[in-house]
Amino acid sequence: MTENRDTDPAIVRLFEDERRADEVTAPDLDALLVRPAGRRVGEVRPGRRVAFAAAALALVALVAASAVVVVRTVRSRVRAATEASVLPPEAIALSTWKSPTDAFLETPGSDLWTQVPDFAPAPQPVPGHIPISPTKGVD
Amino acid sequence: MTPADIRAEIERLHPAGFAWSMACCGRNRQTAEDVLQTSYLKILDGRARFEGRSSFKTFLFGVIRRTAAEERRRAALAGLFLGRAEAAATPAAEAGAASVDRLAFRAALARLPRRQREVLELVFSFGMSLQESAATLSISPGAASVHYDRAKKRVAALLGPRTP
Repeated sequence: MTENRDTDPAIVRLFEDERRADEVTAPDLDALLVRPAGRRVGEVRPGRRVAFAAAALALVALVAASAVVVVRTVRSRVRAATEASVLPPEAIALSTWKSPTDAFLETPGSDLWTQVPDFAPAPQPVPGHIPISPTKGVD
Repeated sequence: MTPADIRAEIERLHPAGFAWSMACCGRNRQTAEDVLQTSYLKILDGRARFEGRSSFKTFLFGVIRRTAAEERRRAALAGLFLGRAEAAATPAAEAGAASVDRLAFRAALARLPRRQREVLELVFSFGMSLQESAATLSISPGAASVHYDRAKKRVAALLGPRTP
């Protein structure tokens, strides 16, 4: 082993002392193997099993209750949004209402303000016609 | 390996296994014995099988480390859900017999992160190489080397210069 060459020997000795002290107090192997298994790691005692089951049930109930609350909240919000998007008949009637004297407000040519006038297409040139070219008075 | 061979190996490594179990269990003797018993039973009844990919010592120490980790998780869960505080890992009884140097040494070790402490213990206390330590801890040799280097510097800084 070359890893601890550059380490303080006193520190290495402390590690070794610690290990030796533990090794000396190691329990008898046979006694360790045959002793009651009540405290074996990973094996749950009956009392604890009940407590764990109760805790697990409580956790499941909590998760289920949370899910119900979340679903209900989402559904109520969706319903509220849907209802808000449907206008009442009164609102629709108001939006389509027109005054009986609305026609008096229309003046001649007022349609020019709301739409582009449609001009007639340019006349096609007649065959044989020579267009007059500007001469500025000089023939 | 036959069951008889495995049993013989366990007997041979039992003192070192107990020392490693103490290191993994925060020097709590009761927990260390429970962890060691469970580890041996896992190996003897075949729940943990030695495949021969490493030395038996590396395999045994790995099983002890994993079993100790299971015990820590179980204790943490019990404390969390059942409000049951596990016995603190303060070896008060044996602390009285330990020298001042050893107490200071334990205090310094306790301030290291778990991985760093485990690598140092495996190398210095149990004479493992960094490769064997890495196999025991299920980490890469590079990671073991980094943990080792940092831990060594930290312990030296915590304990200060010492004379043999």
